[in-house]
Amino acid sequence: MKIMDILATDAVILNLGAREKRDVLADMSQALAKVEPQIEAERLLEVLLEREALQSTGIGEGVAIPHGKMVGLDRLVASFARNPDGVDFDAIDGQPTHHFFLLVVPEHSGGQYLKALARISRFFRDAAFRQKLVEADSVDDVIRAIEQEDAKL
Amino acid sequence: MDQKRYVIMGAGEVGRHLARALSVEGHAVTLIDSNPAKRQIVEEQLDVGFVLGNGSHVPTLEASEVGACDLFVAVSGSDEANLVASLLAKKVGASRTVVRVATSEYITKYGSTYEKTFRADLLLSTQLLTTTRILNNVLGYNTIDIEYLAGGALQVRRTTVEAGSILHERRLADVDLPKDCLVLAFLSSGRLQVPTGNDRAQPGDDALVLGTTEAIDELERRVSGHSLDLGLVVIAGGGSTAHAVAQGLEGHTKRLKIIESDRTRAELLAAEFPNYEIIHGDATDMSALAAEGVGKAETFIALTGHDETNLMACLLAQELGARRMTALVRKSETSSLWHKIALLDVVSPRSLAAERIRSYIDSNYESHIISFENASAQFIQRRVYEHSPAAGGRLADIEIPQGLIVAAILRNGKAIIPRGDDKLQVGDAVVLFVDRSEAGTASLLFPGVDEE
Repeated sequence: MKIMDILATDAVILNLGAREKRDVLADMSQALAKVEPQIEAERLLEVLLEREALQSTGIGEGVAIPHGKMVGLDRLVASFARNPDGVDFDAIDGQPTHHFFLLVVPEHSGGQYLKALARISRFFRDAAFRQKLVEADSVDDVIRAIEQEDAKL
Repeated sequence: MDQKRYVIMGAGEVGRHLARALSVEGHAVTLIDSNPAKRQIVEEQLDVGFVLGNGSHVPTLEASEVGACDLFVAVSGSDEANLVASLLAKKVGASRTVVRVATSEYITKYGSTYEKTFRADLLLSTQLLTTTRILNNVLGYNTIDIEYLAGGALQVRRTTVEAGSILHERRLADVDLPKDCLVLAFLSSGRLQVPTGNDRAQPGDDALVLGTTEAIDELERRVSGHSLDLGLVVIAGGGSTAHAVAQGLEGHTKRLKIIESDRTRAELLAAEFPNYEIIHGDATDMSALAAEGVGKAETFIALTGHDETNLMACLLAQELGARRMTALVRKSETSSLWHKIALLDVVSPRSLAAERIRSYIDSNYESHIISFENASAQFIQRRVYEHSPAAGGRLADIEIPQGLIVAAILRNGKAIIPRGDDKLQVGDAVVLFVDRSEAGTASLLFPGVDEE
């Protein structure tokens, strides 16, 4: 599975203004709902918050991977947002979070869900990949960085 | 060589032995002991610092500069004081701690609970080390370490792979593993490798195996090629170590006799081991040993509370014709002498503890892979919730990252070693084996708090 196959490039946000965890998720949900008719922003926000309540998806090193399942969706959808200032996302290492990679999947997606999560998690473990996202000046730069990782694995 | 700083609580045999070895190599060592008489012994015999005081009090730890040490070792005579000292040492800044406890019960059921609560990087039990060594001798195993998980339902055994072992001769995919056990990793010079089916161990590597005690015993039998029947085994002494050894031998021999001098104790053992023959008698009485057929014993193990009794009993057993003798000798200074006099295995609990701590230090703290803090890989136990991404997933789909293994599922009070087709259900608890690099992925797929 390639991450580029599921990334909604029109929903990518390079300068996310939100400063609170909830607002980050709300802004990303709205951006995704605008380009994906199957997604309703408020319902997606609920799903993401339910999952965050279990444990933050902030996996450290400035990265969070919010995710959840949605009834009525027929395929996996992802989006990316960046906040250069960093947001307190209750990350496991206690550090501010800069990179947000959102994944939403159909209710019955089986192994695809876990494969996608594990794959994204692996991308972000690479410090060089994170640096490329920090330095990206355009959505095209982000796409290029992801395409390069997709080609590696 | 870098000079390291070690602080050792307890100037008993283990503490002094370690302090001597480490200071001779040029490291800075401080011993802590509350007994003023120990100060003189230490100052006369060793070139190390000494702090008089109770190691489970913060002022003593601060006076010993525990906050600046590379390793804090708690090996005093009190299990409780050692555990508390570990926690306090971490609070005042120690980077790593080792805790020695006497009894094995701290480890066999609640090991990870004690390790986490008292923040010990390595928790070891002299009794467990002793039992393990004796069982290795008797069964031909190469066990180095045993850790217990899920309240004792599962164990992780670290065992050395020898040339000729099936774990070396075959690819892992071709090894006929018993049900309910799993090879988690190979350790090669302290480096952990999670194997694929195509990998095999090299001689001298260690294998980390998880499973039920019975399944791992079965695997060790297949690996060692030893026969099932050990012949007659006679144990002199019926204390707690003998009890643990007898338990470990269950299923390996049908003929086991225990000679115990205390009648009440003998009756207790008889009630607990109905298949074994428990004899009330004196293990240093030659005619009594002869009458019990010790001359025909394949294995004679002397585990009474007295070194002299153990050695005497072994000499008599040897004279009668027993094949292999093992003696428990608590005073480690004399154990080498005894080894010279008679052809016997001498097991010294204190030497075993000192050796184990030494190998932990020498491997740059990697030899204890399963520890809670600072480890390169660890076990965590998580619950599967409705909103966990892994809920309802097939294991074959989850094991994408190589450093993340669902080692066991705890369901309805039973531990299951899963296969790829097993599905995770909401309400299951899972035991995960997680490489440090995959800790984030583990938290993504299995969100929630660590469970015991």
